[in-house]
Amino acid sequence: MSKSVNCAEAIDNMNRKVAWGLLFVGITYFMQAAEKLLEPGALNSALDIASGVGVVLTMGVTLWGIFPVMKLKAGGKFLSKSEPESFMTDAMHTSFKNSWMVTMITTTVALAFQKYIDDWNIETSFYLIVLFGFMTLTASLSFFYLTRNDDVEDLEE
Amino acid sequence: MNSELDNRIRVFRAEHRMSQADLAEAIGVSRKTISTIEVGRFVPSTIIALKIAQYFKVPLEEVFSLTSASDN
Repeated sequence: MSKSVNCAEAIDNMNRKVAWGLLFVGITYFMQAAEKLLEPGALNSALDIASGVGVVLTMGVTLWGIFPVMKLKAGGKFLSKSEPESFMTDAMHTSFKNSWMVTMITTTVALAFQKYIDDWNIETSFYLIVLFGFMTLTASLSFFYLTRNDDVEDLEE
Repeated sequence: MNSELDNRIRVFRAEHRMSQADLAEAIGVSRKTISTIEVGRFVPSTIIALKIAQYFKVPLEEVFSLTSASDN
């Protein structure tokens, strides 16, 4: 007899791996931003390789998380629900909200110092990369904080 | 006045000799969802709350209750 698949556990696993994917993509983008600030050289080449590794890790971990859920959907075993019925899904939604709020505050502060930032003469793509990296990094860190293990909750009795 | 959701899921699980994973499987949620509801980290949806009460064959109020923060 085949082992039954718990869809809720599959979604939790997907959320965890998507959070790792967000962490890797955030770090990768910050490395790419650092590359733009540095003169071509040994460190720049190392960052280039590290960025490539980051892209592979991001794709790998995200696909690893999504594939089991896609498989369940394809097999007709996955029942979608109209509301989040999982602690992990709720934590992911909260993390996106937290990320948006932190990015909004950071952008507001940056706008206040716009005059000084203009003097740096850095290309626009640098700011877009930093902003995207910042959003994904804060979303993943918020998720890991919200879903941290608690010794009390693991007590069975 | 702040209200908090209290629950007796752990008591019912003990009475039915069930693990968190058993209850999660029975009502179609993950074990983490059950464990976080038990300790009050996650406020369940009405659907999950009703499923838990239905599983233990008791009224919802026997599993979940509202307590004011000043009671704690």
